[in-house]
Amino acid sequence: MKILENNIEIIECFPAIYIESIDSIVIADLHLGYEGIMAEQGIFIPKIQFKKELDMLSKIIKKKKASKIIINGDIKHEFSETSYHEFIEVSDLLNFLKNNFKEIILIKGNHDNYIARVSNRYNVKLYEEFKINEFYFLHGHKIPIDFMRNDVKIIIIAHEHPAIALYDEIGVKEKIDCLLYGNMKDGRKIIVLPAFSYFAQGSDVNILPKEELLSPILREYVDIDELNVIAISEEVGCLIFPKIGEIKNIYKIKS
Amino acid sequence: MAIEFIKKPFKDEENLSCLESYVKEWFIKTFKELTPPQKYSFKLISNGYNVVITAPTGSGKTIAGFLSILSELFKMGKEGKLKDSVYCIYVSPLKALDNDIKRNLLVPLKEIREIAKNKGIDLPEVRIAVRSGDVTPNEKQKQLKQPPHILITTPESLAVMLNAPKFSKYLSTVKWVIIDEIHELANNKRGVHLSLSLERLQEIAGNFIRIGLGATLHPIEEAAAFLVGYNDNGELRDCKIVDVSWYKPYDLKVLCPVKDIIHSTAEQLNSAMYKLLDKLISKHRTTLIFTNTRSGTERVVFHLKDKWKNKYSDATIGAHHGSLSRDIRLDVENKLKQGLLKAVICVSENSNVLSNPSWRKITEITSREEIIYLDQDLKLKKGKFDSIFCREYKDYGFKIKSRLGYEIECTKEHKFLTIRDSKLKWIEAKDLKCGDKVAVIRNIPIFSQYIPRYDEIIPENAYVYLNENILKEIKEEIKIKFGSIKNLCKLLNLNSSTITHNLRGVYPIKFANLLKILSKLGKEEWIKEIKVIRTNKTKHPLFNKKISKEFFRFLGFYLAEGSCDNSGISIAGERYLLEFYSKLLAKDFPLKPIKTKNPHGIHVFKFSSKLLRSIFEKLIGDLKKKSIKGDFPSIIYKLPEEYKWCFLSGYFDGDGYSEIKNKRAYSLGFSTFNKKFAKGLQTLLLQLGIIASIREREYNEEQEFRGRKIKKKGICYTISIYGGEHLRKFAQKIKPKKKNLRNAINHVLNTKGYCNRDIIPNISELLREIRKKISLSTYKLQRIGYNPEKVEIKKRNISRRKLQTLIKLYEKFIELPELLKNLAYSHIFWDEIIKKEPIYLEKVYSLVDTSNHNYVIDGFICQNSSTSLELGIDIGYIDLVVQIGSPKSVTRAIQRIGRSGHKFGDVAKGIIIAMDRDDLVECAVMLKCALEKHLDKIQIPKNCLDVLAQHIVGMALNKKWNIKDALKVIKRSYCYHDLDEETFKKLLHYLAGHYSDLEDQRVYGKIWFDENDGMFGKRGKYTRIIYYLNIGTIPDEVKVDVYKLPDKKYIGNIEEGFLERLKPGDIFVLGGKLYEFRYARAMRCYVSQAPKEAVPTIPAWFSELLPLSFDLALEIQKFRKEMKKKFEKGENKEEIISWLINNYPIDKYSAHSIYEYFKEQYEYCNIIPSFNEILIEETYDLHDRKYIVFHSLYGRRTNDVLSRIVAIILSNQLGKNIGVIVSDNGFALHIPKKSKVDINKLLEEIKNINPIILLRENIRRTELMNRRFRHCASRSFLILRNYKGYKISVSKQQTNAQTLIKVCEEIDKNFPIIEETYREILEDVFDIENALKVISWIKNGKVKINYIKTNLSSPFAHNLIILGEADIVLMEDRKKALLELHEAIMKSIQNRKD
Repeated sequence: MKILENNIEIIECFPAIYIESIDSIVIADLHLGYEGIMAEQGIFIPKIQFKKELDMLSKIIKKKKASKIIINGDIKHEFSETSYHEFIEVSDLLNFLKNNFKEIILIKGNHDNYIARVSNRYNVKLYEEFKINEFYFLHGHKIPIDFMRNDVKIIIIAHEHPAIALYDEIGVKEKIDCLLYGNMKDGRKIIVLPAFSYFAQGSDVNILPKEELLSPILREYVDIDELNVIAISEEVGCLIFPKIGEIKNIYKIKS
Repeated sequence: MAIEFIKKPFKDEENLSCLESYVKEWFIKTFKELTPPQKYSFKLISNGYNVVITAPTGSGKTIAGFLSILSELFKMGKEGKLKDSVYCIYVSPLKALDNDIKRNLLVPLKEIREIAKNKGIDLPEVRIAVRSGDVTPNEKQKQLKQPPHILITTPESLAVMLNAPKFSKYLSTVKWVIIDEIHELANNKRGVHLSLSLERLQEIAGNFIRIGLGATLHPIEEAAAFLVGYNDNGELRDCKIVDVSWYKPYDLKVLCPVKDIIHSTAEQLNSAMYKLLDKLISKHRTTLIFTNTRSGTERVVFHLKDKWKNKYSDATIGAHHGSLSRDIRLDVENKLKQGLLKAVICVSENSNVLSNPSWRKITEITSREEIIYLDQDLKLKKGKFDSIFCREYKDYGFKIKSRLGYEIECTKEHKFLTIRDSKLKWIEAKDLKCGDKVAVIRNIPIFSQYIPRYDEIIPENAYVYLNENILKEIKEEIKIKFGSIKNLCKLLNLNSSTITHNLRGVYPIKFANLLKILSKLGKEEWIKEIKVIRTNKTKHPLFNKKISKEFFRFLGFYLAEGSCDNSGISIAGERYLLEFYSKLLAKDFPLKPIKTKNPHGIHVFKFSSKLLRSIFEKLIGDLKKKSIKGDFPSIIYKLPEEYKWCFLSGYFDGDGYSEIKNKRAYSLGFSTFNKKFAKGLQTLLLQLGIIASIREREYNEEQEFRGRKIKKKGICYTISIYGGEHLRKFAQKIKPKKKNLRNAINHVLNTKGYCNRDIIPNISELLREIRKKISLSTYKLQRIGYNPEKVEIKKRNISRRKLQTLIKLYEKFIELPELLKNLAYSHIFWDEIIKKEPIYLEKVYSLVDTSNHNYVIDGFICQNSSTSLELGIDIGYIDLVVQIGSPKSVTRAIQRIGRSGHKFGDVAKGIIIAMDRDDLVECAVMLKCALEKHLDKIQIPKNCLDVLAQHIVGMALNKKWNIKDALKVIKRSYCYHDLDEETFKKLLHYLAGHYSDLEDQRVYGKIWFDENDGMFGKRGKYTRIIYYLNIGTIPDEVKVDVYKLPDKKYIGNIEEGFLERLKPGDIFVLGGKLYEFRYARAMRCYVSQAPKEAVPTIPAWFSELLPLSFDLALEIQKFRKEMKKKFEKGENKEEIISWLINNYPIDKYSAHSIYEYFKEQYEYCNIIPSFNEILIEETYDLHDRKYIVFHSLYGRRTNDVLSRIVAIILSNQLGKNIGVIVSDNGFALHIPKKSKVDINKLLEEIKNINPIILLRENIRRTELMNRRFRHCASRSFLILRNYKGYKISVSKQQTNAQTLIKVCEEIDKNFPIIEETYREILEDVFDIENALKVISWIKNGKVKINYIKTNLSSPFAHNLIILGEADIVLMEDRKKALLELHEAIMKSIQNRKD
């Protein structure tokens, strides 16, 4: 499905986009190593996320060939300083990507401490934020100093793990991940990527009040009610929803 | 026969002769006769039988179980066979009972030995000890050196003991095990857990005698089988059953509070219910009231106290709730047994309560005054209290002193606020040690301030001038009210000519006379019209106005350096100071001082003014001995801040001190001989937000002064300002005149640093957990501000300032726990206890029902008497049990009512007050069943894999096992007798980590298991710790905290399952108030105040309601059938009502209401659903919502199953989600309005489906599954509740359970823990067994189905429909659901645009 004057394509039913002009696939919020961190806290979840994500990536690559892949932050759920073991999944992932892309671009998210150790080893470039042509990639957990730069037209963030909550006549709640896009208050465009992580818990953007959103960019530079919603799920593919403000109106949710 | 009822008691002599002679003598001496259980038990236990004894409370059960054993132990002692080892284990499900039992046994143990000694028999001591989670490691160590002969414990601690490397060897000698409260254990997983522990104990101890004690239950045979289990050869072990639960006669009745329960409004019903309750209570000595929910209990207590204020107070009413949580209930009950709990949290009569604005003696404060209390957010606020409680104590309490100099005298049980393991905790005085940190106030909040006028402090003998206008008004007022001045003077006994002159303005009037007149006129407010004040008629005029700052500064100085004689006051000191203060005084008092020197050569300025003297006397009290006996002027507390500083500056100039060394300021403060002054200064400083300590120093010294020796003796108090920011703030504000003090101040202002005593103790775990969550390294923290590592490893406590810094750092990354933020900015100072000594207290006091249950006593934050729940009444004197609403089971009714008539031979009197029509019918049938001794059945859970997993880990820790041997042990337990080897192996595979990928084995494996060899054993160094920390079967429950917008104030909590049901805009009730749900984030729920006219859109969660038992449900069906027949026969009202009254234990109102209820149903739809009939009713509610109601009276657990099965079938047929409402009397399906239901098709499918498969698929998609899976997962160590010493929060357990369940399913659809979850839901939560029975009855036609359509629901369906949905059956096809939702949204948008 194409959005924003057909420049950008959502790759079928996956939480990933393809940008033709820069020949790049963009994903975000992989949160690898989640199980390990949980285990450290005494909660033992079998390691399945990496496998799931790899499956999904393979499918994406089959659908769409691209020379670059951009990972817009939070490739890893958490790093402890000490355990080398923790790096294995990221290493494996980078290996996999190396075999499939000419270029890998990593953008640092709030979880990505110590990521440089791995990325250096694989000669992968690591950016705080990344600008290419009219696109400006940043994870979205903080506002960079030159955020207001006017040489960019489209800002692409993640971090929020957007989802919408839907209710039926009986009162059943369904939650579905989604991609958000639309205009920022200053007229530039913004895209909010859904999370790639298998374990991610989405923020219900049509329920939460603005001040509860995770990303300061969404809180301060965007009127969330003005963003368009495309729900993405492996089960049903992409569904175009009206703007968040309108969904709120239907459920009579106070902004 | 393996299990045998003993129907006939033995003769007393037969029983007693089984005991050793001195034991027998003790018994005869202590008791008049044998109680019914004892008439069996002494002999049976002595003869070595396993026994189950059921008997009501107060029947001497404990002695019945123990005495033969005590006798045997003493006999062994006499023969020198009693080793240092455990012989008897007593297990009770309730920790709280343990100490009770110990106490109850210590007395006979002691007395029996004495009797024997008198007979010349020297018996060794038989030791008894408690070993439970509450016992200190120290005590456990002691037990290891000298084990008790009788060990009192809980099921969990018993399991731990089986693995205790050293202690378990003492268990090899166990001969008896007593299981108390067996009725509380037999029907749940705790009991299952215990049954395995017993078999494992058997491995250590060999055969032992099992004794089960309990209240009535049914069938006892099954409880007995549960207790004894099977032999290795697969036969049930022998057991004798003694059932004396019915020896006590029962007097039972159902009362209906109103004549017609159907047509009464809720208000009428409620008010009638309380009237009835009051009447019942008044007629009895002590009444025990049960409700079915905790909130219900609280409501009853609240309303009784509210409606009859003089009659019911905290001192006269206690509440007891019987919610599902047995532990809480037993705990309260135990507190009841211990007597008046409320009476123990008290302080001595010397204590002072912090009120607004300062201290009040506890004996003098009244409930009209405001007190200061600590709110949820740890800020001091002003609040209220209900009354003062006073009682005789005549016992030793404690005098506790803190480093800041606070002192309190309190009872041993008085509760102080502390932090333990990162949690706020109330700790009793007896458990506090020197060095412990407790909460004291760090400031005193100011809620109002004002500057007094002189007329408020002048003495009565002063003379005052008033304005002419005012005098005129007074005169007029007198004329109107009393006719003439003369009349008034006669009345007041005043000289009328003087007063007439006074009022003409000729002479000033005596202040006392003016007061008298104005108060008679009711015009006290005119006092402020006084213009000028004089001591006598001529001298030194003082203009009445607001008192100046200067005066207060002078007052401060005077307090330190002043003296007086009859004609005036003096100040002494250095001359420049005196000059300065004279000028200050002159601002209000234009007096010229007489300047002299005293015999010691010190300058003295004297002010001759009687007025001034008496003003000071009024403010300070005893002026002559001011330095010892004077009072600190309380007027200061109300002044504005600036004035307070003036006062302090004056005092500082007089008695201030400074400690400067090497140009560094160490300390500033005051010193005084007067304790009251010291306290006053400390209080005043607290009002200004400055912490100061009071130190006492005794001195006894001779001083030489100009050749004379002066003996000085007494106590000197030093008020020293705490270092760091406190000292700096003080220095900034205080403005001394004295030169050396001014220098000192300058030094302070140049000193940096903060107060290192101002710390927040014991929050290491919390800090560590937070940092882990956000994964900041200590190195990074060091760089950006502060490294908390030493705090996290408990090497030191964190200072308040550092905590604030840390919070600012952390907040950028994570939502911090409210507690942490509250602690950092609280009004609490964590002060250290430096002295604790016993003190005899004659009388003690406490404030009752303060805001937020606490108040401030002498600086300490203390809990007040207690909440209503804990209030005690002696259970021994209960002569009536009232149950409000149905207790839902005959057995439960009997257990509860059995609490009355405690004394042997009394009648147990019980009354149930029915609260609605279904209740009424239910209770009538229930009590009839009770009178006919027709009890409902317990269900013992079987083959619980989670509990088994836990024990397998325990067994593996003991030794290497052959799986055949292990299975043999396990199958001895009644609960696992038919466990098959394959399931067992599957569980072993899970525990050995064979289920997950190889690399994760380390994480999962808790045992090793080699299937080829058929062996398993322990693995991993953490396993033992994990086992100890996670043992047990009671799950942690998730509470979601609720915050009110916009200020996000905490208002309470709701169950997680309830949150799942809320959608934005829903209105629900919490704590008696209505709120609108807005959104939730990370286990926090945000709501706003609902509009006034709002009605709840979602019913209060009723998971805590008890389900109606299946057996009783069938009885009610039969009752309905009887009634139906009567209506069909056309019997008239009188006939039916008199039949009801004659056959059921109910009153007239009840009979009338039951009649009306059935009549309406019969007349409305000509059909009464009855025995072996299910009525299906298609209908609508008042909001035009469509329902299919099934009148299936089988109890909620069975209806849970039936409703789901029907809903799934219907959901599939209609392709829609369906809301399900379940109650004891039936269930209703909420379906979309346009859906058409084909009942025949529905019934056909019900008959043909495989219910279990269908149900499992459905259950999988419910919230219930997620929650129960977490319980099972934590029982089987799949999710740990406690890891390496850290408690894992329930919400985290839950979030992970949801992912875990998905993952486990992917590994194996029949993963053992998932299987267990289904089993638990189907068998323990639901009642699949009986539900299948009902379905088979439908199939074979035993149960008939009737079908009607109504426009509005029939009377029997009303209660059901107003309940609201309990659960939802989801469409199987999520894809379809999503697409439909999407479509609905788009349509709605389209409609709007059109």
